[in-house]
Amino acid sequence: MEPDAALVARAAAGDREAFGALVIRYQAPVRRVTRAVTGNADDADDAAQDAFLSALDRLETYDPSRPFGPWLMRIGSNAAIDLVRRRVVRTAVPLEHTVASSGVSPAAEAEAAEIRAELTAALAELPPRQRAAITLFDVEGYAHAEIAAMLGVPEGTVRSDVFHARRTLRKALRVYGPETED
Amino acid sequence: MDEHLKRFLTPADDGRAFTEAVLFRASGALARRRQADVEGPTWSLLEVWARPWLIAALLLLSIGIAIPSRPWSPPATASADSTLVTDLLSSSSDSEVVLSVALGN
Repeated sequence: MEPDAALVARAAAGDREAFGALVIRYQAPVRRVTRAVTGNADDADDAAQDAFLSALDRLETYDPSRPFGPWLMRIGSNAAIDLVRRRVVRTAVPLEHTVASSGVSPAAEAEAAEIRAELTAALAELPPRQRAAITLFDVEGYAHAEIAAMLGVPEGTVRSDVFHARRTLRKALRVYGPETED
Repeated sequence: MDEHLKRFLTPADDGRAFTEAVLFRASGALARRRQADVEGPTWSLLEVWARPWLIAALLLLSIGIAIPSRPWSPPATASADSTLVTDLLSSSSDSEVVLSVALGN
């Protein structure tokens, strides 16, 4: 697999294939974060597309000696948070109908649908930054310090955001593990 | 930590349509980058405008530095005066001194 830095260098020279490879490689994590923040599949994909285009415009500011993922996730998170702040997000397409089916029994699928509905409601209670923080931490596996750099807030704020987001989701779902700050 | 959240947030599609949409929107920017890569660095409008002024400013600066550094030579009139004074003082004849004073030297 071609390293990110090489793809970035080719994309900076206008190579469509290289930029496409970067998009296909990172579209899932970026879309997960934008979905968590916007709570709407269409708005999420709008924000994710804006993020990739913004990244293309700013490729010269990327430091090839550092990982590409956090740099891109920073742009993606901020694009989603900005979109939520700019306008009232659409409500026409509930997120639960756009996600993948687990492909299991009807009972299990019904349970999964119930969890999705609970998650939708629980995430809606969180401020956009907390949604981004918990997704980046619990789903994408970034460290508090990395998330702090991405969101432009102190590390302690990220810890607090993750803690409060988990508490809210736990109340709604009762599927999260024991309450900790990590 | 939570697979529920990951499964909930992961898009159902494989990302190809999304990627095509991004590439479609990025086609103009990619074309500009290709063109810039072929043409190499170009002077911006500001740089093109500023270059003659920059050269003129450097020329004036170099002239300003060069003028005071030229060796100092006394003015011609001052030199003539000092020669007359020297001649007067070295003169051995009083009549020449009187003549010189009478002539205003």
